[in-house]
Amino acid sequence: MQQINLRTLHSLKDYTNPELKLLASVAPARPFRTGDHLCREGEFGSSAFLIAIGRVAVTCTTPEGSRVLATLDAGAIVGQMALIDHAPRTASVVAVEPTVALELTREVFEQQLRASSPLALRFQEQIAIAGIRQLRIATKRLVQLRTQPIQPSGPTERQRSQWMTLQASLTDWDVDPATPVQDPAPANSGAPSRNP
Amino acid sequence: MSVAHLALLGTLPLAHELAEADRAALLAVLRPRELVAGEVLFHQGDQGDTLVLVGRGLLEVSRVDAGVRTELGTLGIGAMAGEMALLDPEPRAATVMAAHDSLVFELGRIGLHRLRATCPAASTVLVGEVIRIVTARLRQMDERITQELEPDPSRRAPPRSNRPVTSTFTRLWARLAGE
Repeated sequence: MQQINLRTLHSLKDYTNPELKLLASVAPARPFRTGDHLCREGEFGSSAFLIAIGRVAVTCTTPEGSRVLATLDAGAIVGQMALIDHAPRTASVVAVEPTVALELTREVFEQQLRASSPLALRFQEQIAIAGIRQLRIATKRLVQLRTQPIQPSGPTERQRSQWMTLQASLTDWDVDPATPVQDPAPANSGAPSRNP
Repeated sequence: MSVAHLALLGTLPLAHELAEADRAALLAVLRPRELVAGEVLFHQGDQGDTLVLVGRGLLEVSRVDAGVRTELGTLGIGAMAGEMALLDPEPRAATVMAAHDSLVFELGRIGLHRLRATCPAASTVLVGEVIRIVTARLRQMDERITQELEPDPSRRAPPRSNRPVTSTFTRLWARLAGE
């Protein structure tokens, strides 16, 4: 496995050296080959992943087939809702190149939180910020979609697709909180709307 | 520190799960502020990074779009405003005004950083409450989209957002919220 340097990861830039050391000791590094799943939609998960090396795609099943919601690089945190909620994964995460990810389980996270570890407090705040940004992006997109109201006869195919893409992105707010917030794609674009 | 403020804080759902010492640590970073009816706490578009917790009275939330003012709702005792700006500053999305004479507790980013150092337990409860609020809003949005696509409830797929509350601190937040 390649040498991991947590210090270079943007999402950990505010972490102190002792916090990084603690993170490395409580969250073991796991290697994934291209095409390997870190987690699968529909399965119950109990851990979050920090991408240390490589790149992953977040995908979700829609009536039109599998959709890529986001592609995330080293530094991204995915699956963190599993630290909060005991619920099926709302998306799959697949390695699109050889990847190493640190795996943090709910058990360890709660233990660290109960012990008021600064690491857990930072992580908790990052989870909150990820949700806040997700909500802001989704709200802007909702306002855009509302400019083309759905007729009483029902949504057009394109409208159904746009609304369902927004809905799919909502239930998975496992986005990297360090990624700058971007305006979503215009409402008339059929392409997946999530930031890269 | 005011004994009256500490007693008032203790009656709010957010503080229910906090030990007396943790409440005092929380109050130490809060700024109590008296508002008279009609006084504006902040305007839509203002830069801000403070959270507001209603201790007494009632706040009114409104927004102006294309010259049209819409009342979005009111915030009563124990409710919060600005919780997203506290963690991730952005211009205020709405105007918040005192509907009656009110007392609010304000918390800024510096206060939150101090709280993290002086009383991590209170900071965990506070950030946990923000996560709970944000998660609930995401679920509401999910349900609204389902309604938009299928106005007939009998033909809607069951909500995907119906998640059981199991983890220790999720239960704690649920209790804090009085659910």
